[in-house]
Amino acid sequence: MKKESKFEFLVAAFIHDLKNQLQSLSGQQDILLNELPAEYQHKLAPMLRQTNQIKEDTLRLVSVFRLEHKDSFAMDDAWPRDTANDAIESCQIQFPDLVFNNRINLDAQGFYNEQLIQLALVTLITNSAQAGAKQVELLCEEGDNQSLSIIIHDDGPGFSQDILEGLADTTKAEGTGLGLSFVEMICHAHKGAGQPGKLTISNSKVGAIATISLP
Amino acid sequence: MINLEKALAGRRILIVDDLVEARSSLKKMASILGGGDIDIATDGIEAMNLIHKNKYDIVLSDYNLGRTKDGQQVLEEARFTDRLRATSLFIVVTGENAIDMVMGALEYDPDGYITKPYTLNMLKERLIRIITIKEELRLANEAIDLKKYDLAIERCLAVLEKSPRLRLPASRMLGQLLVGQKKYEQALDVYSQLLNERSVSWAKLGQAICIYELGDSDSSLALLHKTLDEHPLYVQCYDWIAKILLTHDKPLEAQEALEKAIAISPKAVLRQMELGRVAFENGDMATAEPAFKYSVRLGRYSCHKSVKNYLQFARSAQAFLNNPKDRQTQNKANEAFRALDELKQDYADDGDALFEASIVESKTHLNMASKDDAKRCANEAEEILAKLECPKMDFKLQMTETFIDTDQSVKAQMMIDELKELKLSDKQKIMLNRLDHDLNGEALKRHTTSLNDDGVGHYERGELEEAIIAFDQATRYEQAGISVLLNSIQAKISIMERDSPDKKILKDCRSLLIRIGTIAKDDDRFARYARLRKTYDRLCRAAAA
Repeated sequence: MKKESKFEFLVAAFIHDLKNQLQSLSGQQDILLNELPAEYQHKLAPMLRQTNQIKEDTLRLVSVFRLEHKDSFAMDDAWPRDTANDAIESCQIQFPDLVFNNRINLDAQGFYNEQLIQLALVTLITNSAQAGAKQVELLCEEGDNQSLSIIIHDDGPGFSQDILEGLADTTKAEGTGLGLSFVEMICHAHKGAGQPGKLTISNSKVGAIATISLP
Repeated sequence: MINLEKALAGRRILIVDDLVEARSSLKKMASILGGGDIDIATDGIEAMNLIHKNKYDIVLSDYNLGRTKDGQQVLEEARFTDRLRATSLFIVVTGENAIDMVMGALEYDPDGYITKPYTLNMLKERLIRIITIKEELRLANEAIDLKKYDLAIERCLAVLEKSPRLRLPASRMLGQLLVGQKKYEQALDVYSQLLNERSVSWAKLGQAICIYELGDSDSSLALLHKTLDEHPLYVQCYDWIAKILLTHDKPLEAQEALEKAIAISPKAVLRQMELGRVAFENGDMATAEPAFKYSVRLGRYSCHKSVKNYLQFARSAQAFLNNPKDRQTQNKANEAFRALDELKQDYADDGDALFEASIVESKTHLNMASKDDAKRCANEAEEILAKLECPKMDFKLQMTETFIDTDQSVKAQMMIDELKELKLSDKQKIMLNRLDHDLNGEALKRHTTSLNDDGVGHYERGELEEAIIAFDQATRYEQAGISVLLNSIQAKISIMERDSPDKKILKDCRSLLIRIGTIAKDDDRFARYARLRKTYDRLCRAAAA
């Protein structure tokens, strides 16, 4: 076995094992929550938050590694409402006071890598929460030729002018400040009709708007 | 949208995962979601045993199942053996990076996949979507279960027209059905139309297959390579590349393609068999032997178990039996013997298999310098061959070769004589000529000498009939020398002088004289030859009178 393929094999094996452990942990938590009386469930919250953070960070790490190496990501039929629900489920653990409104149509359908888009949504929602938003709304628009836009609208302070003009990546103290770049990488990995996907950001009268457009 | 609790109630579910925590948590999750009748399997073999025993409506299988089969193989075998109906669901649970392999399988594709790590809610959402789609395609799947493929095609087309949102799963099913019915032009249309809208890897493979089947193998190859550039883990593309390269008479490149596929997905029995076969033909035993060994191991509990796997493994192992005293060589030989024993045990009613196993066993003993055992196995093969109703020509050629290898030249000669009278293919004729050439001339000479000695003994005791029989046996062989031929003529002449001239015996004498040809006058045997020739002429005249 060549040195580089040995390395790749080892990395793949470790990731596989890590995902299995995370899966097992996540499954046990779900079962525990299902069996535990409601009054005791809050006691689990710190542990759930930590586990969820580890899960998200692991998926982000693996994805950024693969995105950087221009690996191919399998695309398939996917349903933005489900993807948004999954992202909300994850963010609710991290930000229990944040109010979510998933207004995406049940039948809306796209063609994308579900795990990547879920990570993108989690990243954008995390940005909103860390910027001080109290409420996040998720919407979806289906365009011609099966293109799709997923919109995240919050009630926070909105993007600073420097960020809107591309002069800075972040103005907040928390996080890496590279969340938007990560979401952009994810959008670019989605190509359709020769066009890559894109992330556009803007401010509304109340809060920030981030739009993931998938061709 | 379906109601998941109702959809799972009363359905028989099988969960397959090699990790105990993953198994039990998935089982509990499925129970929470409404599943009641749930079995679990810890690996692919146990899963197949259960699938053969019970009728499952839903199988949820992890992709990576440890050392034996993976989830894809379980799916292939379940569908191939018709143990899992088309209307039943097979869902693969996998990490995101293995999805290319799961989604790429064109012929045996799962109904859906669930990526790890997932939560209870994610599992619920995914199951609802997968079961809803399956329900929309139920009529087409029912037609497939009834093997009414034209009806299934019709129903797929109806779904496509009625529900554009089901374009992907319906097109996939339609493409498979059309390819299965050899309607390649229509299938190509389906795949091409889809690819105009979506870059779907399986549609690219489908397109490449149709283009190849329609006669443009170069374009097909180019498309397969392009698909691999975009999806390097898409192993089925390598399989087709190898297949096409073989038709282009490029076996080395074909082997290379198969090796790449094996490096990505080593557990596919058919792929390992194909690599073994191609490498064997290429004379690359270092690749062929482990490929066949793996095929035996993987095939042991599968529908792809075959006599060929065992035999080819034992045959390819011969290349490594160079030093019988060496421990590694002994281990390799023992592996070959074990495989052959298993073959004999598992295919005890298959005469062909038993014959070939005995032949390879004989060769293995020979390579391990056990001549007696080699001869014993050759004789076992001979007995089996005699019992076969219509033995193949190739078997007779193999038997001949084994007789030669085990110093049974007489039997080999008889087999060669028999084969010379039979209709053989060009390849078989070449093999026969080689065997004929290989046949140990020295051994035959020794045998004819022995027969000649017998004849001389009888002759000296006045037992002319017995002498003639012995000399006749000796002169059947080309290797019989001039002295033997002269002895035979002398015995025949003596019996005619004792009794009376006989036209048939004279004809035999004439044949022997022709075989002798001319003898130089200074040859020691010339005087005897001349005397016998004179007597022969006289007897001819007497017979004519």
